[in-house]
Amino acid sequence: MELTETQSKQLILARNLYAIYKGKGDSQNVVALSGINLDMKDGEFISIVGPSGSGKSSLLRILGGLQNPSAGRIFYHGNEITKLDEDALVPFRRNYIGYVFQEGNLIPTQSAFMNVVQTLRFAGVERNDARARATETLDKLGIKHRMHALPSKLSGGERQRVAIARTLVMKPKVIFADEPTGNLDYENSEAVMGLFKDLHREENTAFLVVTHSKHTSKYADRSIELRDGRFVGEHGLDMDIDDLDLSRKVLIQPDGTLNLPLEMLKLLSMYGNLWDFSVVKEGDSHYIKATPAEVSDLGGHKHEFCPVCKKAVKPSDGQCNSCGASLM
Amino acid sequence: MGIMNILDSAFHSFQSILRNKRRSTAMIAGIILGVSILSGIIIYTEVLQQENFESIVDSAEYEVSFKVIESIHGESHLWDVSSLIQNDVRIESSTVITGPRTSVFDNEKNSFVLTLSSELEDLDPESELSAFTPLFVRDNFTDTSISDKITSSIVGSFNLTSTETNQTVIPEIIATQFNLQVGSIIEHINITVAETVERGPSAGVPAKSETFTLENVEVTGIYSSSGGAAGLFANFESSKLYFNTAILDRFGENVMPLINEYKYQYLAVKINSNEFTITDLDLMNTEINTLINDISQLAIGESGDTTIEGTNEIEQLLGPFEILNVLLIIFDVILVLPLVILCLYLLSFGLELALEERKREIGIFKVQGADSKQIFTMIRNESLVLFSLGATIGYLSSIFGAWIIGSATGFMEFDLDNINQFNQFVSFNVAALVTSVLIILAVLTINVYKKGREFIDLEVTEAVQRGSKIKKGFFRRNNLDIFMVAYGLLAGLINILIWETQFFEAEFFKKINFDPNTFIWTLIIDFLGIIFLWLGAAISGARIAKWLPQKSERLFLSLPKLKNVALIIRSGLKRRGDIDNLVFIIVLTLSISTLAGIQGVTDQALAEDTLEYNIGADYKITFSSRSNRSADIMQYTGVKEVMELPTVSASVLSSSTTVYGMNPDIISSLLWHDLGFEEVSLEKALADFKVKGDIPKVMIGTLLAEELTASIGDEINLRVKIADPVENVTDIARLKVKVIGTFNHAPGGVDQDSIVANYDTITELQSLIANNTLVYDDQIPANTYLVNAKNGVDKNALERDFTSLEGYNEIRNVEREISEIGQENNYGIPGLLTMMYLTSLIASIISAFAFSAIIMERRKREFAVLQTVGATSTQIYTTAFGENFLVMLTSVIWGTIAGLGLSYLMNGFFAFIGEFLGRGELPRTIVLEWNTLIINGLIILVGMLSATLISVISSVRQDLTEATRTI
Repeated sequence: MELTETQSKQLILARNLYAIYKGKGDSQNVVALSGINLDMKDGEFISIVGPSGSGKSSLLRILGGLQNPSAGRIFYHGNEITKLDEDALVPFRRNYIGYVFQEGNLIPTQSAFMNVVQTLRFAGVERNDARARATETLDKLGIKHRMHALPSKLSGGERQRVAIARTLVMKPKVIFADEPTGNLDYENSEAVMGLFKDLHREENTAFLVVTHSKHTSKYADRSIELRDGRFVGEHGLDMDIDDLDLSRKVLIQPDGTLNLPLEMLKLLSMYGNLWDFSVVKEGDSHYIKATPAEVSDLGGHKHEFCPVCKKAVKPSDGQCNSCGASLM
Repeated sequence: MGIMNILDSAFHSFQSILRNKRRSTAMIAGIILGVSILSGIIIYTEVLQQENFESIVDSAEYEVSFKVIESIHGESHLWDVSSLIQNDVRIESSTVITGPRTSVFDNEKNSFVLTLSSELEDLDPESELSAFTPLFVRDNFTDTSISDKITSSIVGSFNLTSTETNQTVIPEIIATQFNLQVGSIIEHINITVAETVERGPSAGVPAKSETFTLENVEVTGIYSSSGGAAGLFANFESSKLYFNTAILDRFGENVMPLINEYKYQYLAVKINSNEFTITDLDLMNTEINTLINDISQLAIGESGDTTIEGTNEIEQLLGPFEILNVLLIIFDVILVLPLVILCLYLLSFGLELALEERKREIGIFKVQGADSKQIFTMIRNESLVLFSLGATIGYLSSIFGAWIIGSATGFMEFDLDNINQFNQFVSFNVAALVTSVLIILAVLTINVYKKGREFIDLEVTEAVQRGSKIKKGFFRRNNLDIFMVAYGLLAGLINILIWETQFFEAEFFKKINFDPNTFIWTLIIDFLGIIFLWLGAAISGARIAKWLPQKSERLFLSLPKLKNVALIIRSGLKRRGDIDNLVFIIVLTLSISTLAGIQGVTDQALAEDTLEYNIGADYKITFSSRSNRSADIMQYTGVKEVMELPTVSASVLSSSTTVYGMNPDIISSLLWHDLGFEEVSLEKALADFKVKGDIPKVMIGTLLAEELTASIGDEINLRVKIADPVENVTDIARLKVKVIGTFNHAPGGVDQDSIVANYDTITELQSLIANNTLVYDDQIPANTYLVNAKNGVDKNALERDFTSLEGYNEIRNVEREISEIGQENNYGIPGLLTMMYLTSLIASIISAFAFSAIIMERRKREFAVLQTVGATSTQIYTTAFGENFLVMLTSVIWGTIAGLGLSYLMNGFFAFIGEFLGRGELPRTIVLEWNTLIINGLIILVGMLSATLISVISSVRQDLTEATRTI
């Protein structure tokens, strides 16, 4: 795939990402992500929202280089990372990304201080320098007084701060955070998100945050909605996480595909699966006008949709004619 | 800065080890055990070699010999040299002997050899035996320690001082062959001095010879085989007759000049072993060679060169012992090989467990930006720190282990009072340390690289996920473990049938030519059986340990105690994969300790049985001369019965044999072994023996029976030589006897190529030999008597009484000797088995403890969750114990069964080694001490349950919030 100049300048460019997990025994394979495309600029703060099981964490892990996608490609400033092995990913992990887990994932047998120092030592920073930088970062995050405690002795908020410190100390270009405030109370959540925002503002660090939290998502410049492994819409600052329908903007993928939320699909399916699209200008605004085609005959049957490719199918077929997925 | 980094790294490694004690314990246990076993074996065999060499040197007659280079220097020159070297601290004593040093004497002329031989013409007219080599010594021979070595076991005395009468000291073999004893007079002994062609067509033909006859030679002493060789080298016993050199002087005109011309004398030198490095064979030989040259320098002649030439005699003698030592090392290695494999597996498994525990940590390191080299360095450094610690402890333990092997007087019996013996083992043995360290380090390095790479290459997400995948190995996936176990058990069953029954003696197997004792079948059945059973049992252990409790769940889940937690236990049994490795190790270690325990007890029992059967009664007393002693012995009130054991030499067809006479009335109360009594039972044979018949009845040894192709009911001719002193004629007499039984071991050490007859038969034979001129009273004279004591008598006190009897030579007391059996040279076999037993038991306990603790640690969160949903602490205990106890009990039982099978499979190997080392002559019947086996199993169970208890207590007391939170 040849990247354009603009594409090469994107912090993250992801195309057609799939994540398929093999089913155990008789159970079916699980398609966690299905044809995800993402463009992210330097310094953007994006949140990923969606119901449980929609593939948010999988997406974050894949974009963060912690997991290989089943298909698709990922570029960081034009450099592809999808085919790199573990050792080749190391410079990328050191220089580009920081990852904050929901659980913190600190090394339980090292103190908070050593958890941060260790990151710098891995990057080849000299011992004294590493210690100094770690102390400074922990101080900045307000937990210097607890830096010699083991993780088991820290509160949830303190642990999350240590995890953030561990990430920040390397000054990454983008921070991936998977439910960073999921285990925190309101006060700590505020503190953590405040830190993120400060970084975003001061260091121009990009953020990709997975969240369920209304409170967290309001910090994002934009929010992308993920459902059943697909981006179905984008939300702005006016997003209400409890009622995404209100603020959803339908996302037209770079390759021209359009993903509609399931509710909308069900509504439209009554009218068949063939539609006429036209772009209509009304004043300064442009609209897409969609009209069902005269013929959209599916034999008068009640329409159902393939769970994988979302195309309309006849249940009696037993199998989707488009992608071959089982309908049983 | 480099040093700081190293120190920093070492510090963090230590910190990580201390913070992860459980996983560190698992790894370090394997290192300690591996190093201690390997080092212990090497240290022990070196000390054993040293002891063997010291023993050989100590018991050797002399180590160095000198001969004159030129014949102008005769015997007196050698005596002069002997005087010169008396004050050398390296020399204990020296003397001059006339006669060959070895069986062949090479002279400088290269064409002739001189031989001296002696024939007992009267007694052995047909020269059926080889000519005996005569040695001539002077009067002062008994003043030297050299004669002490020869006379260390002598009946009579080494008295050759008389130059007026002819005297001789003869070896036991001659005395037995010709029924000679101290005081016997041999009418004629011919001594031949012959010059024989050495090479060419006429080689071996005497060119010149002189024979002189000694008349009426008195036997003043009968000696047992000299030299320090073990039973294995009994064949090296020399058949030498000793005479006073003055005898040769009487024939000086013809004989002495020839002897002088051929330099047929040598100076024998006995070294002072304290002045030589006995422990190092090469160094010792160098030191001896230096001594030889130093002495040579003292004997400088007119030519300015030495007049004598020395030979290092001990070098040849020690050579076979170096071979023996190598064989012992090989045997030791084979014996401990399963243990070493076990320790290496423990090490490997411990490392895998440690890495498994760190999988998540490794994933997080990668997120932090660590590359594989950095992660690998951390794992390697920690492993090296653990290795250094483990190797140090292991080496120190090995000293203790070597001492255990060396001080063991029997299986699990030690002589710990001898602190000097412990000091022998306390040393820095470079070979032991380097060998064990290199092997263990190699295994550790390979595992760290191989397994470490596996974990490091994992995708971060996979690594960070909790829980481990349960991977079934190749053998289990393909059910090969079941095949291996079946094969091993079948092989074990075949061995049980071989050892305990005569199943394979049946005609059917002879027809199809199946003999399980042949090499190829031994390889197929025993060798493969051992490997398959051991490994197969261990691999299938997990299968059985979970399957059996599941199948019997109705039984135990119906117990009221388990009612509330039955569901959890059931699901735990089905899903728990983390106990598979623990069960594997338990079965692996317990089977070895069972094997060692059974073979240790069997070995001990065999040694004691052999002793008992060799004596055959409470006492076996030998006297210096043949006479009637029964009345003397019976005078002691503690004596219940006495049986003399007279002997007669005879021949049957072309086989020579010894006929032992036994009293039919007492014979049944002696100790017989029923092996050999296959055709006719022991009881029947002994009963028949008492009944007089037309033809005298005998029992013959199985070896002799095989040579003669004789079986029960056959009549054979006993042939004896008649000596007619009047007519000076020898003739043959025959006595027909009937075979009524065959034996492997008869009381009094009567062996398999002998015959047992009753007194009437012996009397008849002796009468024939004496040409019917002999008259006997009721008692038949004998050298050897078998005595049974009354019940409750102090046998050791009675023994002291016997030693005061006239002519007393030696006594063997069964009770005393069984208690002292451990002091005999046992080549460390009981010690090795003890070490095998203890080490595998310790490995079992450590494994049970460490791995149970790790598994319980992993379940802490599970227990915390159970508590949060309302489980009581009692229910938590019941769950943990219930599950673990069922699994462990099955493992312990299965491991014991595997060990039993291994014992039978390896019995042949142990029997071979025992026979090779002269440990036991009887068949090696497995002795099962069930209490030992039960204790074994209980120890493991207790270890595991203790680990469970400690971990569960800690779980129950833990802070639930902390336990359920994820870090």
